[in-house]
Amino acid sequence: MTEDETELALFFADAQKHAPIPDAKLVARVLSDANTVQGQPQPESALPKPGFWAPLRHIADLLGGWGVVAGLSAAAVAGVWIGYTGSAGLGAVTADFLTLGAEYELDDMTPSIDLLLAEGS
Amino acid sequence: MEMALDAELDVSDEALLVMYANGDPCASRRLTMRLSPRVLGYASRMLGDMAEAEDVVQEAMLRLWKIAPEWRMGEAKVTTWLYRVVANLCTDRLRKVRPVDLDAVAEPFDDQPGAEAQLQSKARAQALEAALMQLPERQRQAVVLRHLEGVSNPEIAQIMGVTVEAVESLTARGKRALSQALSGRRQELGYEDG
Repeated sequence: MTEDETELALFFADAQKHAPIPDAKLVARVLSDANTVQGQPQPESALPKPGFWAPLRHIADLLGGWGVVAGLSAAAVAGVWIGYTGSAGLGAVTADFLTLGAEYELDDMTPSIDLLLAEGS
Repeated sequence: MEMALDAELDVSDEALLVMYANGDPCASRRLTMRLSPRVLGYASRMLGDMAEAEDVVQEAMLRLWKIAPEWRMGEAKVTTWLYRVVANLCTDRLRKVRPVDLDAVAEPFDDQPGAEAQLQSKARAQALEAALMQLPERQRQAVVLRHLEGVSNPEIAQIMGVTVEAVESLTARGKRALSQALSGRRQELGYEDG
């Protein structure tokens, strides 16, 4: 530290020692304002207004943040897309199955008596 | 007049402000005791006029009370916000006002009879106050915040809306100017003796 800086530091130290202190009148004025403001009903403008996205933000927070919501949204869109575009191919298979199924009766599922007799001979 | 300092340092300014907003009747007193001496020192050194500095403190604290319900925890330090408000109020007043009355600058403190050393110490403090008033406003602001209020450079940068480098530059230039203004007064102000 140079001599100038040392000297200046001494001046600063003295100025800090003699820092002004708020007198009782100033404290009373400040506290009076504080009590007045505290006693007032909160103006509407001071109340936090829920924004348009507030409900969604709340849901997103519950789910774990916007990252999770983005993942879920992508999965949902993919599901809908697969549902629409993939249903044609599956439809052909299920139609065949249902059509074939309609040609069978219950007795078609049980072995015939001829087969059982042949086994016993 | 000595005032009791706020002994409960464990409660942050932010927490007290939220308590005030929630209707706590004691929070405002504790915040006032804690914050008003700091901003009064800053304002009086910026303005060189105790009556004006007191008005600025009252106005700044009033704004604090009004902002309390909207205060967002963690976004800014209460002291940084308050120093910034005081800085703006002082700038407004300095732009409106007057040539500096050095006699007014030299009497920011209550007169208290005391030993010679006490008087010399006060004289040195007053000499610094007078020299500060000769600095350009921005240099004065930076020097007072850094060396009298003990605010960190990054916080001063936030208060003044400049970079940390700019704060360092302002402080360095301010200190050089103060050294020049006070040079030669060392003996007169009793440093040779002490």
